[in-house]
Amino acid sequence: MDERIRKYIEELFADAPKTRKAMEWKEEVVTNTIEKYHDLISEGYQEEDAWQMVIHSIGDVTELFEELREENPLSLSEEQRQKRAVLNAAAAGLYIFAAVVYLAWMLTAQWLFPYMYFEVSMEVGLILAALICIPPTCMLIYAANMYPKFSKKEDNLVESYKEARYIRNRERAIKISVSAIIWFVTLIIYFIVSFVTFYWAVTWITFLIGGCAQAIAFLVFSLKREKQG
Amino acid sequence: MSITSDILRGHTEAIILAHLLEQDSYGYQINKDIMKKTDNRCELKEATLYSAFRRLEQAGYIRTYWGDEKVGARRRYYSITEEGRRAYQVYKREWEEAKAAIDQLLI
Repeated sequence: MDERIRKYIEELFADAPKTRKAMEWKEEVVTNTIEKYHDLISEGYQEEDAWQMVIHSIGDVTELFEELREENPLSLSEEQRQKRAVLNAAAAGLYIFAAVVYLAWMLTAQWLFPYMYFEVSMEVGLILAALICIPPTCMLIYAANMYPKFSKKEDNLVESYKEARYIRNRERAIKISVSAIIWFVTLIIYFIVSFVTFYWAVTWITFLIGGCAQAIAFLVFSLKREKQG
Repeated sequence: MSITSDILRGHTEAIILAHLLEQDSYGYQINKDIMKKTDNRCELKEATLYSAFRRLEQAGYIRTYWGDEKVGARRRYYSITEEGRRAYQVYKREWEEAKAAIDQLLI
Protein backbone atom coordinates (compact mmCIF):
# COMPACT_ATOMS: atom_id res chain seq x y z
CA MET A 1 0.00 0.00 0.00
CA ASP A 2 2.91 2.34 0.73
CA GLU A 3 3.91 2.01 -2.90
CA ARG A 4 0.37 2.75 -4.06
CA ILE A 5 0.32 5.94 -1.99
CA ARG A 6 3.75 6.97 -3.26
CA LYS A 7 2.74 6.31 -6.84
CA TYR A 8 -0.47 8.28 -6.44
CA ILE A 9 1.41 11.30 -5.05
CA GLU A 10 4.10 11.04 -7.73
CA GLU A 11 1.33 11.36 -10.30
CA LEU A 12 -0.22 14.25 -8.42
CA PHE A 13 3.14 16.02 -8.55
CA ALA A 14 3.79 15.26 -12.21
CA ASP A 15 3.10 18.90 -13.10
CA ALA A 16 5.06 20.30 -10.18
CA PRO A 17 8.04 22.50 -11.03
CA LYS A 18 11.26 20.52 -10.95
CA THR A 19 12.71 22.41 -8.04
CA ARG A 20 14.29 21.31 -4.81
CA LYS A 21 11.47 22.86 -2.78
CA ALA A 22 8.77 21.04 -4.70
CA MET A 23 10.63 17.72 -4.49
CA GLU A 24 11.08 18.13 -0.75
CA TRP A 25 7.45 18.97 -0.32
CA LYS A 26 6.48 15.86 -2.26
CA GLU A 27 8.60 13.74 0.07
CA GLU A 28 6.93 15.41 3.02
CA VAL A 29 3.46 14.66 1.66
CA VAL A 30 4.44 11.03 0.99
CA THR A 31 5.77 10.50 4.54
CA ASN A 32 2.80 12.22 6.17
CA THR A 33 0.26 10.33 4.09
CA ILE A 34 1.86 6.93 4.64
CA GLU A 35 2.09 7.57 8.36
CA LYS A 36 -1.52 8.64 8.50
CA TYR A 37 -2.59 5.59 6.54
CA HIS A 38 -0.90 3.24 9.00
CA ASP A 39 -2.45 5.07 11.93
CA LEU A 40 -5.90 4.66 10.39
CA ILE A 41 -5.31 0.95 9.79
CA SER A 42 -4.21 0.47 13.40
CA GLU A 43 -7.38 2.29 14.48
CA GLY A 44 -9.31 -0.47 12.73
CA TYR A 45 -10.24 1.11 9.39
CA GLN A 46 -10.57 -1.07 6.30
CA GLU A 47 -7.77 -0.65 3.77
CA GLU A 48 -9.96 0.92 1.10
CA ASP A 49 -11.60 3.35 3.56
CA ALA A 50 -8.25 4.40 4.93
CA TRP A 51 -7.00 4.93 1.37
CA GLN A 52 -9.96 7.14 0.53
CA MET A 53 -9.44 9.16 3.70
CA VAL A 54 -5.74 9.80 3.20
CA ILE A 55 -6.18 10.69 -0.46
CA HIS A 56 -8.94 13.11 0.48
CA SER A 57 -6.77 14.79 3.10
CA ILE A 58 -4.06 15.80 0.61
CA GLY A 59 -6.22 18.57 -0.82
CA ASP A 60 -5.55 20.74 -3.85
CA VAL A 61 -1.83 20.86 -4.51
CA THR A 62 -1.90 22.41 -7.98
CA GLU A 63 -2.34 26.03 -6.93
CA LEU A 64 0.82 25.84 -4.85
CA PHE A 65 2.81 24.73 -7.88
CA GLU A 66 2.43 28.21 -9.36
CA GLU A 67 3.88 29.82 -6.24
CA LEU A 68 6.74 27.34 -6.22
CA ARG A 69 7.44 27.93 -9.88
CA GLU A 70 8.23 31.55 -9.18
CA GLU A 71 11.15 30.85 -6.90
CA ASN A 72 13.30 28.28 -8.58
CA PRO A 73 16.61 28.31 -6.70
CA LEU A 74 18.58 26.36 -9.29
CA SER A 75 17.64 28.54 -12.22
CA LEU A 76 19.07 31.90 -13.16
CA SER A 77 17.71 35.27 -12.16
CA GLU A 78 15.95 37.35 -14.81
CA GLU A 79 19.00 39.60 -15.17
CA GLN A 80 21.36 36.66 -15.62
CA ARG A 81 19.02 35.03 -18.10
CA GLN A 82 19.02 38.19 -20.19
CA LYS A 83 22.78 38.47 -20.02
CA ARG A 84 23.05 34.86 -21.09
CA ALA A 85 20.67 35.40 -24.00
CA VAL A 86 22.69 38.43 -25.14
CA LEU A 87 25.94 36.45 -24.93
CA ASN A 88 24.49 33.56 -26.92
CA ALA A 89 23.04 35.84 -29.55
CA ALA A 90 26.31 37.78 -29.89
CA ALA A 91 28.26 34.53 -30.17
CA ALA A 92 25.97 33.26 -32.92
CA GLY A 93 26.34 36.60 -34.69
CA LEU A 94 30.12 36.42 -34.52
CA TYR A 95 30.13 32.89 -35.96
CA ILE A 96 28.07 34.10 -38.89
CA PHE A 97 30.40 37.07 -39.22
CA ALA A 98 33.36 34.67 -39.38
CA ALA A 99 31.71 32.72 -42.18
CA VAL A 100 30.95 35.94 -44.05
CA VAL A 101 34.55 37.14 -43.66
CA TYR A 102 35.81 33.82 -45.01
CA LEU A 103 33.53 33.95 -48.06
CA ALA A 104 34.31 37.60 -48.70
CA TRP A 105 38.02 36.86 -48.45
CA MET A 106 37.78 33.96 -50.87
CA LEU A 107 35.89 36.10 -53.37
CA THR A 108 38.20 39.10 -53.19
CA ALA A 109 41.64 37.63 -52.38
CA GLN A 110 42.45 36.71 -55.98
CA TRP A 111 41.69 40.20 -57.02
CA LEU A 112 43.33 41.99 -54.08
CA PHE A 113 46.50 39.88 -54.02
CA PRO A 114 46.95 38.55 -57.53
CA TYR A 115 50.41 37.13 -56.79
CA MET A 116 49.29 34.93 -53.88
CA TYR A 117 48.93 31.19 -54.46
CA PHE A 118 45.33 30.01 -54.29
CA GLU A 119 46.18 27.46 -51.55
CA VAL A 120 47.86 30.11 -49.45
CA SER A 121 44.98 32.54 -49.77
CA MET A 122 42.56 29.76 -48.77
CA GLU A 123 44.60 29.02 -45.65
CA VAL A 124 44.83 32.69 -44.74
CA GLY A 125 41.06 32.96 -45.07
CA LEU A 126 40.59 29.94 -42.81
CA ILE A 127 42.94 31.39 -40.20
CA LEU A 128 41.12 34.72 -40.29
CA ALA A 129 37.78 33.01 -39.80
CA ALA A 130 39.18 30.80 -37.02
CA LEU A 131 40.57 33.85 -35.19
CA ILE A 132 37.17 35.52 -35.33
CA CYS A 133 35.69 32.33 -33.89
CA ILE A 134 37.74 32.57 -30.67
CA PRO A 135 35.73 35.31 -28.87
CA PRO A 136 32.31 33.71 -29.49
CA THR A 137 33.67 30.36 -28.27
CA CYS A 138 34.86 32.00 -25.07
CA MET A 139 31.49 33.72 -24.69
CA LEU A 140 29.61 30.45 -25.03
CA ILE A 141 31.80 28.80 -22.42
CA TYR A 142 31.30 31.73 -20.07
CA ALA A 143 27.53 31.60 -20.60
CA ALA A 144 27.50 27.87 -19.92
CA ASN A 145 29.27 28.45 -16.61
CA MET A 146 26.87 31.09 -15.36
CA TYR A 147 24.78 28.58 -13.44
CA PRO A 148 25.09 29.15 -9.72
CA LYS A 149 27.13 26.80 -7.61
CA PHE A 150 25.07 24.00 -6.17
CA SER A 151 24.38 24.94 -2.58
CA LYS A 152 24.18 22.17 -0.06
CA LYS A 153 21.21 22.73 2.23
CA GLU A 154 21.72 19.96 4.76
CA ASP A 155 24.78 18.08 5.74
CA ASN A 156 23.88 14.55 4.82
CA LEU A 157 24.89 11.83 2.42
CA VAL A 158 22.33 12.47 -0.30
CA GLU A 159 23.16 16.18 -0.44
CA SER A 160 26.88 15.50 -0.46
CA TYR A 161 26.44 13.01 -3.26
CA LYS A 162 24.34 15.46 -5.28
CA GLU A 163 26.90 18.18 -4.80
CA ALA A 164 29.77 15.90 -5.79
CA ARG A 165 27.92 14.81 -8.91
CA TYR A 166 27.15 18.42 -9.77
CA ILE A 167 30.79 19.46 -9.37
CA ARG A 168 31.95 16.48 -11.45
CA ASN A 169 29.60 17.40 -14.29
CA ARG A 170 30.70 21.00 -14.18
CA GLU A 171 34.34 20.03 -14.12
CA ARG A 172 33.93 17.72 -17.07
CA ALA A 173 32.24 20.50 -19.06
CA ILE A 174 35.09 22.90 -18.27
CA LYS A 175 37.73 20.27 -19.16
CA ILE A 176 36.12 19.68 -22.54
CA SER A 177 36.02 23.42 -23.25
CA VAL A 178 39.64 23.86 -22.22
CA SER A 179 40.80 21.02 -24.48
CA ALA A 180 38.78 22.42 -27.35
CA ILE A 181 40.40 25.83 -26.94
CA ILE A 182 43.91 24.39 -26.59
CA TRP A 183 43.63 22.31 -29.78
CA PHE A 184 41.94 25.08 -31.69
CA VAL A 185 44.70 27.52 -30.80
CA THR A 186 47.34 24.86 -31.53
CA LEU A 187 45.92 24.32 -34.99
CA ILE A 188 45.90 28.04 -35.72
CA ILE A 189 49.44 28.52 -34.45
CA TYR A 190 50.54 25.54 -36.53
CA PHE A 191 49.20 27.08 -39.73
CA ILE A 192 50.47 30.57 -38.98
CA VAL A 193 53.97 29.41 -38.09
CA SER A 194 54.07 27.02 -41.04
CA PHE A 195 53.00 29.60 -43.57
CA VAL A 196 55.35 32.21 -42.19
CA THR A 197 58.41 29.95 -41.99
CA PHE A 198 57.58 27.21 -44.50
CA TYR A 199 59.42 24.74 -42.24
CA TRP A 200 56.68 22.14 -42.59
CA ALA A 201 59.09 19.41 -41.55
CA VAL A 202 59.53 20.98 -38.12
CA THR A 203 56.34 22.86 -37.33
CA TRP A 204 54.31 19.69 -36.53
CA ILE A 205 56.01 19.94 -33.13
CA THR A 206 53.29 22.51 -32.34
CA PHE A 207 50.94 19.57 -31.79
CA LEU A 208 53.32 18.03 -29.25
CA ILE A 209 53.36 21.35 -27.43
CA GLY A 210 49.55 21.40 -27.59
CA GLY A 211 49.46 17.96 -26.01
CA CYS A 212 51.79 19.13 -23.26
CA ALA A 213 49.62 22.21 -22.66
CA GLN A 214 46.57 20.00 -22.26
CA ALA A 215 48.36 17.68 -19.85
CA ILE A 216 49.48 20.68 -17.79
CA ALA A 217 45.96 22.13 -17.76
CA PHE A 218 44.52 18.83 -16.50
CA LEU A 219 47.27 18.55 -13.89
CA VAL A 220 46.38 22.02 -12.60
CA PHE A 221 42.76 20.87 -12.42
CA SER A 222 43.48 17.82 -10.32
CA LEU A 223 45.87 19.74 -8.06
CA LYS A 224 43.16 22.32 -7.45
CA ARG A 225 40.62 19.65 -6.67
CA GLU A 226 42.97 17.96 -4.21
CA LYS A 227 43.50 21.25 -2.45
CA GLN A 228 39.73 21.74 -2.19
CA GLY A 229 39.06 18.19 -1.05
CA MET B 1 -19.23 22.92 10.48
CA SER B 2 -18.29 24.84 7.36
CA ILE B 3 -18.05 28.11 9.31
CA THR B 4 -15.83 26.40 11.87
CA SER B 5 -13.42 25.10 9.25
CA ASP B 6 -13.43 28.41 7.40
CA ILE B 7 -12.53 30.33 10.54
CA LEU B 8 -9.91 27.77 11.45
CA ARG B 9 -8.36 27.96 8.01
CA GLY B 10 -7.95 31.69 8.49
CA HIS B 11 -5.90 30.95 11.58
CA THR B 12 -3.81 28.07 10.29
CA GLU B 13 -0.56 29.93 10.75
CA ALA B 14 -1.30 30.96 14.33
CA ILE B 15 -2.38 27.40 15.16
CA ILE B 16 0.88 26.03 13.78
CA LEU B 17 2.90 28.60 15.74
CA ALA B 18 1.00 27.67 18.91
CA HIS B 19 1.99 24.03 18.41
CA LEU B 20 5.60 24.86 17.79
CA LEU B 21 5.79 26.96 20.97
CA GLU B 22 5.82 23.73 22.97
CA GLN B 23 8.25 21.73 20.86
CA ASP B 24 9.59 21.19 17.36
CA SER B 25 7.27 19.12 15.27
CA TYR B 26 6.55 17.78 11.79
CA GLY B 27 3.54 18.09 9.51
CA TYR B 28 1.61 14.98 10.41
CA GLN B 29 2.27 15.37 14.14
CA ILE B 30 0.86 18.91 14.08
CA ASN B 31 -2.18 17.70 12.17
CA LYS B 32 -2.70 14.84 14.62
CA ASP B 33 -2.57 17.26 17.55
CA ILE B 34 -5.12 19.53 15.89
CA MET B 35 -7.46 16.59 15.35
CA LYS B 36 -7.04 15.40 18.92
CA LYS B 37 -7.67 18.83 20.41
CA THR B 38 -10.77 19.37 18.30
CA ASP B 39 -12.16 15.82 18.74
CA ASN B 40 -11.53 14.95 15.08
CA ARG B 41 -13.67 17.85 13.92
CA CYS B 42 -10.84 19.66 12.18
CA GLU B 43 -8.09 18.46 9.99
CA LEU B 44 -5.78 20.50 7.81
CA LYS B 45 -5.22 19.33 4.26
CA GLU B 46 -1.62 18.69 3.25
CA ALA B 47 -1.80 21.56 0.77
CA THR B 48 -3.14 24.00 3.39
CA LEU B 49 -0.52 22.91 5.88
CA TYR B 50 2.33 23.28 3.46
CA SER B 51 1.29 26.66 2.15
CA ALA B 52 1.12 27.88 5.75
CA PHE B 53 4.59 26.47 6.45
CA ARG B 54 5.87 28.26 3.40
CA ARG B 55 4.46 31.62 4.41
CA LEU B 56 5.76 31.24 7.96
CA GLU B 57 9.19 30.33 6.68
CA GLN B 58 9.29 33.28 4.30
CA ALA B 59 8.32 35.58 7.15
CA GLY B 60 11.15 34.13 9.24
CA TYR B 61 8.80 32.83 11.91
CA ILE B 62 9.83 29.20 11.60
CA ARG B 63 12.90 27.25 10.61
CA THR B 64 13.02 23.79 9.14
CA TYR B 65 15.41 20.87 9.34
CA TRP B 66 15.43 17.18 8.46
CA GLY B 67 15.13 14.78 11.36
CA ASP B 68 17.66 12.00 11.83
CA GLU B 69 15.32 9.04 12.02
CA LYS B 70 17.29 5.82 12.12
CA VAL B 71 14.37 3.75 10.86
CA GLY B 72 11.72 4.64 8.31
CA ALA B 73 11.40 7.77 6.22
CA ARG B 74 13.05 11.00 7.28
CA ARG B 75 10.78 13.70 8.58
CA ARG B 76 10.97 17.39 8.04
CA TYR B 77 10.81 19.21 11.36
CA TYR B 78 9.78 22.77 12.00
CA SER B 79 10.82 24.97 14.90
CA ILE B 80 9.71 28.44 15.91
CA THR B 81 12.10 31.40 15.87
CA GLU B 82 12.27 34.35 18.28
CA GLU B 83 10.51 36.46 15.68
CA GLY B 84 7.85 33.79 15.45
CA ARG B 85 7.27 33.90 19.19
CA ARG B 86 6.84 37.67 19.10
CA ALA B 87 4.48 37.44 16.12
CA TYR B 88 2.47 34.82 17.96
CA GLN B 89 2.04 37.04 21.02
CA VAL B 90 0.80 39.91 18.86
CA TYR B 91 -1.55 37.59 17.03
CA LYS B 92 -2.93 36.16 20.25
CA ARG B 93 -3.65 39.62 21.66
CA GLU B 94 -5.45 40.64 18.49
CA TRP B 95 -7.46 37.44 18.53
CA GLU B 96 -8.55 38.03 22.14
CA GLU B 97 -9.79 41.46 21.14
CA ALA B 98 -11.62 40.13 18.09
CA LYS B 99 -13.16 37.32 20.12
CA ALA B 100 -14.40 39.75 22.75
CA ALA B 101 -15.90 41.97 20.07
CA ILE B 102 -17.67 39.10 18.32
CA ASP B 103 -18.95 37.74 21.62
CA GLN B 104 -20.50 41.15 22.27
CA LEU B 105 -22.05 41.30 18.82
CA LEU B 106 -23.47 37.79 18.68
CA ILE B 107 -25.67 37.41 21.67
